[in-house]
Amino acid sequence: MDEPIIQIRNVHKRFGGVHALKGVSLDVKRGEVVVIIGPSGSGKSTLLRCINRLEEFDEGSIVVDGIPLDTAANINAVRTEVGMVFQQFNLFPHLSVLENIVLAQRVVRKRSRDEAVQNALQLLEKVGIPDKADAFPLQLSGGQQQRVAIARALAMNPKIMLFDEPTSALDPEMIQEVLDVMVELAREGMTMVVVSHEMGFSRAAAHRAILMDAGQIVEDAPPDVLFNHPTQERTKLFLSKIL
Amino acid sequence: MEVEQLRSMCWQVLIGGLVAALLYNVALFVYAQRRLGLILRPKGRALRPYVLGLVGGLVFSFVLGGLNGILLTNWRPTLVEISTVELVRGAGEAWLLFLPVFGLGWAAVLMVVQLAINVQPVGSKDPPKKLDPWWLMVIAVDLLVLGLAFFKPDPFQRIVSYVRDGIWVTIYVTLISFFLVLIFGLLGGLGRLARNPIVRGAATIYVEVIRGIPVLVQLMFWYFAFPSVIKDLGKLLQIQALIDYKANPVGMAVLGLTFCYAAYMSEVYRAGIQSISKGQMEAARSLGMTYVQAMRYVILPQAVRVILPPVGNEFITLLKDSSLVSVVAVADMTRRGREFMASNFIPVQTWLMVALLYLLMTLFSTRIVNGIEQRTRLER
Ligand SMILES: Nc1ncnc2c1ncn2[C@@H]1O[C@H](COP(=O)(O)OP(=O)(O)O)[C@@H](O)[C@H]1O
Ligand SMILES: [Mg+2]
Repeated sequence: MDEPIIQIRNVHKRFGGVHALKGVSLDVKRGEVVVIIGPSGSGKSTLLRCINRLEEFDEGSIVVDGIPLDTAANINAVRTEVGMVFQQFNLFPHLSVLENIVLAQRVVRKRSRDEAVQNALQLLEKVGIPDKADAFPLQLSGGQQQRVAIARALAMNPKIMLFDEPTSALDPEMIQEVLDVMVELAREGMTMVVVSHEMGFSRAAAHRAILMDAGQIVEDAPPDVLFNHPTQERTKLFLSKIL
Repeated sequence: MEVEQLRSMCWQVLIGGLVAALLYNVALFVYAQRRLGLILRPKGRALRPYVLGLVGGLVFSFVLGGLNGILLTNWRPTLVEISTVELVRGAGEAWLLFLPVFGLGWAAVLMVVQLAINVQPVGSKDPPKKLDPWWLMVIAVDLLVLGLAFFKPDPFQRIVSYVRDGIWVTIYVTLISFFLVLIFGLLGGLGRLARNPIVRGAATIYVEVIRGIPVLVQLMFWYFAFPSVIKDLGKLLQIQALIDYKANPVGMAVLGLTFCYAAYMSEVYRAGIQSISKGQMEAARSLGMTYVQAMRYVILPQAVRVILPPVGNEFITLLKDSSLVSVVAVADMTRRGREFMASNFIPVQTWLMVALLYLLMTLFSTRIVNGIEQRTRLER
């Protein structure tokens, strides 16, 4: 139980000549909320995508909830335990909001339609848009779409949620509604790895903050330490740019 | 012809029409509502338009069937006869002229459905689309065919009766080939996108080679060269079954058309799948779906919308190119036309009629493709 739910060991990833991850190691405990910040191109997305194997890594190992990411069967097993929320929402535009949330429950979790629909409606309630079940994604605002995407991921009852810049594509007035849902999720004890530069979220919910630069973890500390009293020069430099 | 026989024919036409209308409506309903996420409205009355479309189309086919029978056979009934059992005869005779009848009948079905159904693309703010005026063109050509056959039965009615078998051959060769093309094209398209370099390479070579050889030459190969290769192989291996192999013209024609068109179709599929953003596949996979599930539930339903226009074009090209099978011993419409001309020496009338029949089929197909396209569009 005390064993970390995510164990990343010395992971390397190259895209042709680009060395995107240079030996990253990271443990995330059950129920922990980890925020990752860092300049664009530093490998944050790549690291996140390695955790559910949307990206193959070249070296090292990742173990999620005791399951090593090696065989195809294991990878699918891990993916059902790990929910992911994307910057661009990636809702299925041909399906209604309800069907977006129902689909994977039916084909992956093999739930009955009634059960899946019940679950979907509850989750829509939870993310605050119970009245949009019959709408189609493209009829919704960005903030509403992102909340549907969160509900869709939660419908699989994941043990871990990954967020890759969930609010970067949103208009400023919609950011808070999405962050509220995420903070609520963190309060409930969800294990979360969040790439985001939203200080509000970090202060309210994060247990740890990590600065990545050039494919490496530069600093790993509690958020108030990392944001207010960073030890590394590179962290100070980066923070001076975004603050 | 016996009244009993006519009556049974009439029932065949009727039941055939009913079943076809039913299938069409069910398919449209399921497809529109489930797969493509279209809203049917007003919500509560979803059934009514289908019943309307069904009945309307049926009555239309039936009445026009009767009319065609009257117009296009030598039978000239009195008014009393029309209202009696003889109407059955008219409808029964309608199978003589399958195309004009059903062209019109189905135009009517689709029009009624289109009028009544109120299917609207998701998120569209326009009022539901009403009638597609291009149906008038189909009807005009239909009337032209009917008119020619009515006012100048010799030679036009004779031509139509003579090439009638050919119409069927053209239709089923096209439909069977197209069905196979849809399946193998999908496999080819997925092959072109495969990560495995061997699969991808094989698919690419297939597409490039096939596209570089004229269809006619390919048909010649399958009908003349391929059986001879099989025979030589049989002699080499001493297998009697292979030595006795005889090519079936229709089979080889379907094989040839499928093999060729699947190559073009795989490019259509590939482009369609590639047009769906990578994020869709990633979202599906991150939810734990397998590659096949993601394709089936997420990528292909979206790609279908994108590829409908080019697929429709492929169908119409295939319909026209199916006339090439006439050179490999298949008695399609074109070949029947040539045979008629050879024995009657009236090229102008013969080819005018054949051309009109092809035109009717292609215009009709275009309208159907267009109709489907209209109601599967996703507003972005
Ligand atoms: N699919 C890809 N192909 C080639 N290079 C990539 C790909 N994805 C990411 N990279 C490169 O890897 C590096 C890290 O990218 P990424 O993880 O997206 O950074 P971040 O999310 O921190 O902005 C960048 O240099 C980027 O150009
Ligand atoms: Mg990124």
